[in-house]
Amino acid sequence: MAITNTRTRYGTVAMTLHWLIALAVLINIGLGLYHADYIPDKAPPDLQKFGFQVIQLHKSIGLTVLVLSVARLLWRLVNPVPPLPAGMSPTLRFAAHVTHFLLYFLIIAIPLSGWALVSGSQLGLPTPYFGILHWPNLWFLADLPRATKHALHPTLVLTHFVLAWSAIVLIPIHVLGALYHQFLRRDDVLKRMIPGTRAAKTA
Amino acid sequence: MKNLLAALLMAPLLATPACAAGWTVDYTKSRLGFTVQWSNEPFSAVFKSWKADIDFDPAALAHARASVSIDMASEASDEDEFDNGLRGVFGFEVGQFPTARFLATSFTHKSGDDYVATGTLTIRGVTKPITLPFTLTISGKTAHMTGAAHVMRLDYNIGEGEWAGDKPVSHEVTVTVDLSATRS
Repeated sequence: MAITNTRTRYGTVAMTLHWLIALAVLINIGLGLYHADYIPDKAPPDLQKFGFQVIQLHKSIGLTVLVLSVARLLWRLVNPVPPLPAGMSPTLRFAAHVTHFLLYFLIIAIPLSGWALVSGSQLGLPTPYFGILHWPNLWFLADLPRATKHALHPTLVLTHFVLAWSAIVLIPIHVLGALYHQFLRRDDVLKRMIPGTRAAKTA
Repeated sequence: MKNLLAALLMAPLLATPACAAGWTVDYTKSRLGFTVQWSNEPFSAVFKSWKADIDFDPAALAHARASVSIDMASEASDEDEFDNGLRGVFGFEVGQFPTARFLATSFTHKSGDDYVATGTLTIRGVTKPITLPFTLTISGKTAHMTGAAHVMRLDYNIGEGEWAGDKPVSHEVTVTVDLSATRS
């Protein structure tokens, strides 16, 4: 298998990044939805501690998505992706491009908005990235006075929320698109992103 | 031995308000709270519910005594998220440790209106010695007292783990009290 993309297949770098990001995003959607349930101070101590660890893990995984996604975007810029199969209608091509563009946008914008949310939080909770290094806050938000952070907080929460829910809506569309290619169009669009599968003989 | 026995028998009598100079706290005019540095800015909160039993006569400091119990769940500030965290498992853990206690057992007069109370402070089940310098003015039957004590939150296991650093929440906490009372 080639490291770089070819005319018919994604290379190992693109595939690894795609599937790592996919896994991290799915885990983080789960953790994020759980975390969305506010845990009150009257909750059992173990539940409070668990909730706290969920938040911290969500932050570490989200920042990982950010790093991987920036790497993926840069890799894509220097390493063109295989073209869509011939025979797709212009509408379908357009839909595919828009979906992919939005997904790239979201996997970078969601962690950025989360990082902004954490940095601009009045709490100032540290981010010990998987417990191995101290991840800095965005200084221009972290250095704001508490009153400003207080006023800004709902906007930061809403931004992260709207972006995250956009992904929750868009990901199934992306998956359905892949399944459409695989089972209805019977082309190699899905296969060329799956390691070990053999590309169909030329498009 | 006889003296000790006598002292033990006397103890309940001394504790009754009727005996020495008891004071009734006016809670509407009194304030008990604390201040920490949080993200390089002072953060202050108060306890809305607490109760002080004070037995204090400036002319008989040897017999002075004060006992304060604080309902930790009554902590309040203008930041709901802070309050939730402070009352929770990483803060005071009010579910397990609902009450903090300050017991002042020794009083000394410094100069003018300035005194120092020493005793113990119990938070989260941990008891440590504490010194509270305060200023007291008595006019007729009313008294006004202000004081501030410095405590280190980690002494009481407040904010451990990922909150253990001096940032964003400073280790040093200033406990402040502003108390008005009338002689009972």
